[in-house]
Amino acid sequence: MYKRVMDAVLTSDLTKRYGENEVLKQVSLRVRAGSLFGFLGPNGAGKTTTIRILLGLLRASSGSATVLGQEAWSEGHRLRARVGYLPGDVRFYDGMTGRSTLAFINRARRAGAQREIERLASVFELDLGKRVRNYSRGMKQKLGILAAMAHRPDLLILDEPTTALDPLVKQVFNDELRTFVREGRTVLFSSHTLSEVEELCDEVAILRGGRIIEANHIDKLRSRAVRRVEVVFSDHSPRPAPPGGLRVARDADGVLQAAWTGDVTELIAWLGRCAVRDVTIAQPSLEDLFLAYYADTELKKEELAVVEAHRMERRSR
Amino acid sequence: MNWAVIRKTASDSLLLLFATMAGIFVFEIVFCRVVEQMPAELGGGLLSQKWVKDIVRFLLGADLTELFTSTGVMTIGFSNSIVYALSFIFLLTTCSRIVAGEVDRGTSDLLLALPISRIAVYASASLVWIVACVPLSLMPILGVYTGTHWFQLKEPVEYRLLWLPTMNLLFLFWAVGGISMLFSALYTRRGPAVGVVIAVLIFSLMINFLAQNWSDINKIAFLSLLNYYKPLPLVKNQALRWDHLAVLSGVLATTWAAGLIYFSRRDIPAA
Repeated sequence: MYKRVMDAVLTSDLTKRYGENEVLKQVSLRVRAGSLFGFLGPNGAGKTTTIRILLGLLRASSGSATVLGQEAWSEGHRLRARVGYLPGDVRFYDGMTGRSTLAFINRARRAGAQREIERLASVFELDLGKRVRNYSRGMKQKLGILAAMAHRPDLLILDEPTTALDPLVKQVFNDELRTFVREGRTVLFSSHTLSEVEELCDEVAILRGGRIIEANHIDKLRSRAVRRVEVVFSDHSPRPAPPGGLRVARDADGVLQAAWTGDVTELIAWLGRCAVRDVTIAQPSLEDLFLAYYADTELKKEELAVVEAHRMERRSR
Repeated sequence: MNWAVIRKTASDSLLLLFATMAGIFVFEIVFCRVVEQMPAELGGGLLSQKWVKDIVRFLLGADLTELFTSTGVMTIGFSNSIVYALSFIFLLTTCSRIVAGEVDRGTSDLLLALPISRIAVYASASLVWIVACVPLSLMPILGVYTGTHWFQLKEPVEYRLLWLPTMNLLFLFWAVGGISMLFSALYTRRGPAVGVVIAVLIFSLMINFLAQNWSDINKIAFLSLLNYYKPLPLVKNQALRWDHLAVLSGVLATTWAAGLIYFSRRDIPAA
């Protein structure tokens, strides 16, 4: 059945209100089956609320949410058999051991995932014999990962999954996720750490203030974002006026450092009219992307340019 | 229902259940010992005091002098603050665990992200305390039975009559459990959920107590849960009060169903 579903997650005008407070505003999200989808946003943007609606833990005020072709609220318990979930703040029953916790989940799911539990425990080097109350935060996070992945779900929903994981474990985790996707499964990866989404995901949606402000392939998003430009001029002769999209942070001693937004054709044309010895146009990182999308709306464009210029100055130092 | 949830809830509740049962059982034996040692004249003398009479009437639902027999006296073992406190602690702890308790400690995400409907979670957890109420309600009669075999009372106890308050006690426990489940489903913190049920029980006790001497309060005695659990009149009349059982069953059914409906529709907040 899964193979026939084109979209692992599909929401339409999803809205969630608590009294007067609207925390999700007409969120329309599409996660292609078999993709590793990044769900970006700062804390409080509404990522967890969206995820909880997808899992049937919250009921949407309006709009619709479909997961693996089933309605998230009314068919929640059925679709959860095919979904794995790692909450942002994962909690377990303190008195149980890691093994008994996973055994309980395995029994409740009727998953028969004992071999996979043992394999994952070995891969993540997690001691399942200890009581959860004696686990460190990182160990609890690993246990959460095992609980979410052991039954090999069609859709894996991860809410800030790498919190408390050390870099080596993160690498192991990323490898497991890539294997998951290679098997045709889908991963919805929520994070506010942009670098890990950049490393892992091929598609991304950015949520801000309860609204999806962008959803696209990471490459396309990058192409829209601010680029860092550094030009070393070969002489000090007068130059034609720079195009409007260039926000100059520093222009001294024949070196210009600036930020560029938009299509680079105009920039390249301008550079062609100048005596240039060297030029660097750096791809934006998702940090840059994030800044472009998340700059406070109260900030005027000029102020934003100043912020960006300061940031670039710091980087160049 | 989900067997894994039933098994987990049962294992979480087992220790407390055994402790509660043991507590009630031991209390009944001690009570038999006290009755054995108490001279009949002292008992009669105490019961002639108005305030003692009021307390006994508040506990048993009738004047003990009307049935001052070993069997009548043993009904005190079925309706006293120790039995209430122990059994209500068990019920409040067990019934508030699965909804308010899970949300409160943040484990609800683990449980409710499993492929189990909320109805199944609620029903599975309920099955455990509903079944647990049976041995719990048997403890007073088992304690009296054991105690009266160890300590010889002046006259034999008619155990067959003590099955009547035992049955009524079971329905009282179920009603308290139903109320606890309702408030557990309504709240996201265990403290307030338990607090409200304790307030309901204290209200019931107060109404029952004040109604003994205050006719105005007596008019609203029907609001008290304990109004439907009066062990001495059952033994005296040698018959169950079906109307009382019906009310307690109604409280159980209404509160349990209301809790289920609310729980199956409510939002589960993040930890």
